[in-house]
Amino acid sequence: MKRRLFLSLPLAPAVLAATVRTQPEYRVVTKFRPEGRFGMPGPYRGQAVAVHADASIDSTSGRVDRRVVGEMLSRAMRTLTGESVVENAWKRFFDPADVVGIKLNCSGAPDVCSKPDVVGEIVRNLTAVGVKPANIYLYERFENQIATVPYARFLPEGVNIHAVERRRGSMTGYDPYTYVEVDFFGEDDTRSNLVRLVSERLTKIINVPNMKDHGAAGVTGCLKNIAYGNFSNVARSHRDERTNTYSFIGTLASVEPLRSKTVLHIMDGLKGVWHGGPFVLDQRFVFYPKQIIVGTDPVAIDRQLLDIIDDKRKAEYAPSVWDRSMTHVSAKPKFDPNLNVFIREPGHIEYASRLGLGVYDEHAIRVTRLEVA
Amino acid sequence: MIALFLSILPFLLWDESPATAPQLKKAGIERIAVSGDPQPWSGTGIEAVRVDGTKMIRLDAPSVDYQPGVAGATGAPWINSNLWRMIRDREKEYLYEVPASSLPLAIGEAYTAGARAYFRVKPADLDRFAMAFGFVRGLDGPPLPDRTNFDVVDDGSEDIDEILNLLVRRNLLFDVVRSSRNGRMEVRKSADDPFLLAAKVRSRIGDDKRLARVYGTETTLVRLFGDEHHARVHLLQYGRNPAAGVRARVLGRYRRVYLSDFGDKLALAKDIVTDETGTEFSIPELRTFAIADLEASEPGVLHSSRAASDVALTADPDSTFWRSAPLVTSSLDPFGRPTGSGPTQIRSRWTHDSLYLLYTCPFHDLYLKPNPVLDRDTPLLWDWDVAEAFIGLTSDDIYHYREFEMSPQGEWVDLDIDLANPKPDYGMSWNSGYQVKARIDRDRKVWYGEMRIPMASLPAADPKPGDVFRLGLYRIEGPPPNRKFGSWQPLYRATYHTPESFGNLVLD
Repeated sequence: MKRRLFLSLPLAPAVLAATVRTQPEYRVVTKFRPEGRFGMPGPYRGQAVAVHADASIDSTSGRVDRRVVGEMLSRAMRTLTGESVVENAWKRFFDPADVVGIKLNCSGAPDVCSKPDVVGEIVRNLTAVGVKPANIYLYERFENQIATVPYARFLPEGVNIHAVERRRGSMTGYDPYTYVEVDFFGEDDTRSNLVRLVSERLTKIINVPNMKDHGAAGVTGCLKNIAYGNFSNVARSHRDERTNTYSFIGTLASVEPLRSKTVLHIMDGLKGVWHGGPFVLDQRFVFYPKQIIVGTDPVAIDRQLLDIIDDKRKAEYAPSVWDRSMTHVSAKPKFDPNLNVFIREPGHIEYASRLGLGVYDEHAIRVTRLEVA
Repeated sequence: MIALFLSILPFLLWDESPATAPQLKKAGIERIAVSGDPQPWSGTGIEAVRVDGTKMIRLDAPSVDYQPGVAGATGAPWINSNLWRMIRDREKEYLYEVPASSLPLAIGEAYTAGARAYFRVKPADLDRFAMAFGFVRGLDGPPLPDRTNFDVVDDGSEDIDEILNLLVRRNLLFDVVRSSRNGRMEVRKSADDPFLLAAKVRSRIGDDKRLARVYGTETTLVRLFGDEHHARVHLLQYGRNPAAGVRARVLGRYRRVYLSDFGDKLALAKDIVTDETGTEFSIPELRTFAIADLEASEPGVLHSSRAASDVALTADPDSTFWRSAPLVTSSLDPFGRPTGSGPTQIRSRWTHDSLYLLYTCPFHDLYLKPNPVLDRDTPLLWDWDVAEAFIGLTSDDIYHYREFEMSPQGEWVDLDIDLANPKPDYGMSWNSGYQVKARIDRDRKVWYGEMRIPMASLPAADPKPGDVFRLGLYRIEGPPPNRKFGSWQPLYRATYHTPESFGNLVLD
């Protein structure tokens, strides 16, 4: 059986079910309008560049080879843009006047997260095209997560490291004027507010997710990181075995100005999680894809991630991320890869494509695969 | 300090001897409840009333339990609140005997419920009680009506207990009634699970019709009072940690929000916005208990007409200089009630170098400081009859403003106020170089006070038409204990130092 066919078997009923499912009623409140030419899915709609390098990370020690990472990133950016000089590739997206946010993923930190080596290379390229260090912000929602990763050691002086919630639950880092209102389960706080840094300070955002399974969303890649990672009060979308990630992720990612400002996705797949994500519950669930996927289309990239995570789960004899059987649902899965707290919603990626965030049809996606020695 | 309205303030139930009267006075406590004979307290300066604590309903310390799932449908923490109990029957008497750490929230809870609540406090905890008591006393004005979405018909059954309990926790605003009222949505005893009933009630009201809501917190309860002109929101934070950035929404369009947050003297409502149907604001850090007053009126405006050149002070509204000057009147107290005096008139003019203010102050009884000193600041001048102007420097820093006072005798004091960085002696060492002239017409029972304030002291080096200063105008009149406090703009609290309330002075 070819992989394409193999994947399509569970996919079809899942999408069908998703199509007929009643979705929550969302009310998006924002004063911002689409702006610029980069907003998702951006200028490279339906494209992704995947660069693999066996030497990028030592799967025994976890040590990252920054030189190799630098080369992976350079090759990816040049291939994506068609530029022969890497600096010109970055100049397509950024100019010295930009204030650039780098949306990290630290929910699995410090083990599996946006690696500081990768982030360091991104920052190096930004400064090379004239973006001032003081106008670069690494950010994540939770202080206790971002603080576990030594990003500062990999950055030039002056780059900002910003936690939106320095104390869990604090709303001062969110924009009170930009939010999505929805009632999922009768919760009284029905708002999820956009990170204030995004609406008030940043002009562009680079999204740096990882390659991870996600107990609620199926996988957590570009869309999940840019959506749930930029809004408050999102955990309320899960309850018991049910989760509203199916439609909430795409809805959040579509909110302006987040959509327009997110210009580039650099998926750090050096080290991933195939079960228990977004956290690292057990080292057994960690794996090493050793690749970086770059693009402007979050759907196209996440579509690749679906295969990567599902293939790995199959290799480990774990249920597919598309599995919706209640026999695999448990409130206390106890590190059993056959069990999960929620019914996963990998259909969120296809749903996001219907919101115009990118291309989901694998046949319509052009993936360029590169190998760095 | 201005007049207080002891209506539904919490009571200190004090078991100590009258020898502790000085300790109470020092803590700002003037009335207490005692279990025994109040007679020994006579002559101590403390008013004591006898109560029977054994007949009171004892209440637990307010708190929160973080037990996922306990609160049913929402997964929110379980709030242990006494609000529903007191709201159900405000005629009864309630007794708190709670740890010192719970006193502020308990006092906030009792004050919000509007019930007669007594606090048995240990001497060691008196200061803690006094702080919270002083906070609510400083905000206590005329009673305001509850604003609610629906009625709960109380049939006296225990089943209603849990319904009220859940409705309070869900921030669903209700009145408790004994029988139906026309035109009101009502809730009665139901066979439904209280969680389900609360959800149904919420659905029936519709979130967009709820009179008050809070966002960004699962541990804050809210109650609403007032009307479309002035709304007062009480916010009680039951969580163990402060809730930062809590957002409140009140149905109705209000122009100004004055926030008082227990434990934060500089609390300032942020990100105030009014849309088609409601008013929203954020509270930087809600620690325990906050009260926000929402005022519907636009900030008042005093226009100042330009004069070609400076003139000698006359304190005469009929003079050529003042005759045609625009004016505003002030006849209300800080809570918006008539002071009982004739309206105070305030006129203004300006030149390139000076800002002029003229007060016309009808009076019943003058209360003047003996042996007035006119050539320097008079400390504590505000303990006597005065007219005052607070002039804000910029809208970016509303905490920083200049205070100018003068008496009917021509005493004066000018102060550099910075609430965020208080200066020694209230900023009295700063001198604006302003001049005053006072005149008393005893036959007509009016005194006049004129100020000439150097523009450079505001500072406004190059004033021009259209410039706007933030402005508060006040007056204090008469001897104690019946001092009258006037304010041009409503404050809804017992301090003039409420810069959110300032109106505007516009240079014409």
